[in-house]
Amino acid sequence: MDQPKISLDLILANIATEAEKAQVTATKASEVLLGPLETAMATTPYDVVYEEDRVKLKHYRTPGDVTLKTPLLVTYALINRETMLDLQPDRSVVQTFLNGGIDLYMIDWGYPTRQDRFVTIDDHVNGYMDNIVDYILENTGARKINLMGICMGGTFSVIYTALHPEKIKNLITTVTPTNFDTDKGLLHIWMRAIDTDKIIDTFGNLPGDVMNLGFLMLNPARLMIDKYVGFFESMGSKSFVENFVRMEKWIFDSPDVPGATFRQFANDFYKKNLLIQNKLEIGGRRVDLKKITMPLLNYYGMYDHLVPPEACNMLTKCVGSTDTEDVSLDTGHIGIYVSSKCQREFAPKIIRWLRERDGEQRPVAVAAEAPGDQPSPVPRLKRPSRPAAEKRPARTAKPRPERPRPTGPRPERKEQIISSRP
Amino acid sequence: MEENKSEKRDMEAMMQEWMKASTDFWTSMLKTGPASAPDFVPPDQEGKKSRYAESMEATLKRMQSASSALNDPKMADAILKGLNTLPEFFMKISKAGWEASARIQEKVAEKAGKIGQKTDAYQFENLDQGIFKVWREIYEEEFSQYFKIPQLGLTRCYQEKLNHLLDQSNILKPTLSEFLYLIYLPMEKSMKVFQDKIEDLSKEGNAPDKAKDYYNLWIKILEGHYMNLFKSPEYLAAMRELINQMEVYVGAKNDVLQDVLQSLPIPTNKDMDNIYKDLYLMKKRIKVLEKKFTQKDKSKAAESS
Repeated sequence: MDQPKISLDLILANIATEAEKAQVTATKASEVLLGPLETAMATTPYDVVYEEDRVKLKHYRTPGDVTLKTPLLVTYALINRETMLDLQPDRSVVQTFLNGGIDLYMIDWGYPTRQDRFVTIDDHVNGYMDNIVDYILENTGARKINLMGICMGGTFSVIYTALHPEKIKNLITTVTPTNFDTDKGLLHIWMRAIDTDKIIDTFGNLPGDVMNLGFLMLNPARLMIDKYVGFFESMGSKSFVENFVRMEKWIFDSPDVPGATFRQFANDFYKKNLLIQNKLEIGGRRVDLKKITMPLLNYYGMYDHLVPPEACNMLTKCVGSTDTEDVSLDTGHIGIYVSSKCQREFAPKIIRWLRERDGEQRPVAVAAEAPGDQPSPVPRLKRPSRPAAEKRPARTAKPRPERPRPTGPRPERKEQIISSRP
Repeated sequence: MEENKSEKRDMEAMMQEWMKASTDFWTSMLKTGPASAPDFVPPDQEGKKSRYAESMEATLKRMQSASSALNDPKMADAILKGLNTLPEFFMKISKAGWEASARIQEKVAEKAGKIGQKTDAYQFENLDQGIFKVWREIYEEEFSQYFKIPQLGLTRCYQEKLNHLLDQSNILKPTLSEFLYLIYLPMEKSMKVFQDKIEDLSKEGNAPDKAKDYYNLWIKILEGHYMNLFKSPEYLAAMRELINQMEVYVGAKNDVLQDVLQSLPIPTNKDMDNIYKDLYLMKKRIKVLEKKFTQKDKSKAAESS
């Protein structure tokens, strides 16, 4: 029998070289890890202009003037935190939007506690979201808003738009699951296999740590081994370590999901797939996707293992709108928002798309050039100044400190670029 | 046979001797006790026996009558029989435990021999997880029943909950082991495939010479194995079972904690959930009313303007 020929001497020589390199990396790493690191997230300044229970509405301070007449509300998922959109200054969807002249609002769902275990999807959509939209309409003078949803927040946005189409001018869904009848993502298979009712009866809410463990288990080879091997290889680089730590902070900053909401999401969406069939009922009203008649831009990741393309790409065919567009990016679930390539494609495209559909709404025009990587020079608008009495509505608002800060006792968060491909 | 009879006779004689001695002892104790002395005067109440003396006398008399009763040959015989059955009782219990242990060993040996036989590369269907099932079956047949013995008396509810927790804890452990075994399988299989792959590459003269290349090859193989495992019905069943058992265990643990907390000035989850539910419903109603009033105010303002 022939013995396989393995060039052992070459391998050993390479290992020796690698060991030398590792020694250099280790020396550098100790300097980096023991030195000061800039790992803050969500540093773009904002004001919390509305609060209701644990839910806050962030209003970002535009560096220049507002050039789009219609304000944009971003609805993040209840899973993980919205800070992912503002991970770091050079990887910030938020900053790109602001530089593009968008008047930007974002919902911070906060950290649900046991007190929130009875809060349903209806409370989120017809309660918090509707109150927030009303607040924005009231305080900006706009007749409608643009709505952008992310992942589960996108599903909420679709439901909201179908139930309140009169308040939405344009809808943008990103990595948004609407069709749950697919076996492409492991999450879909697992969600159907487990007894979610029992989980909620036991825990009250769905614990964030349990969810995170589930996400890690989707690809343990990459997420629990390879990712950290990559870290050890590159921990001599300060910027790499800073980015890595930011991402780790984001990933493991997982709020619990309110029990009643998770129960309904698992049963009515993952198990019965009611939304795409127009059979879903929220707050006693049927969610009819045909009522979504405004322009719809639908983004998803080609290699998304959490929300596969099959879960996203049916929406545009099921809505009542004729102005729809599917955009599939060559990336995974989180890569859309944080990868350098997508930073150049994703947010600028949304700005262009919105600008093309930004009708006459808030006629406060001011001539100026757009800063930064704004796609096209257009007449700029001053943010409409509100009467003093209107600035802080009595029912909710609280004055904001000057500096943005991670609210609550928990740190900022989110995910690894490495994690995207299954 | 004769020997046994003789042994029995000896035992009976010894028993009778002992009982007689015992009766004599208690009779003499009764006579010599201070309360029985004719000139005994209690220190506290003259002319009356003290409670202590009365109690002592009663106790000694009970002991004396008990010893006398034991002197009755029929009674002595019954006691002897009872004593004779004790070793049998202990023997039966030990036998049950021993047999269960032997069965476990036998099954473990049998199943351990099978582990690995059916674990082909990238295949996770029809895995032999029998060893975990055997353990569960044996536990449920032989041990679990002891935790399910009906509890009696004032503390029965608490004891029952504690037993349930211990029982669930014992059931959860093998379920968790089975799950961890499944999670470990891809590691084992990927190493085998990795070795085969390296062998093939070497034969072709394409073996990588960098450690990192070997690592990349292995991690890719491992990833593929995990993807296959996670879609297999065996994994789904194990995951479902683990989650179910975990839920039952957490529920049992919470029940016990609930009992502990009830004795402390701390509200339990149940108490808080009731309050939270009331609060939630009240807030919801207030918000609806608030919206209605705001709309009314707006329409009034619109009418007046």
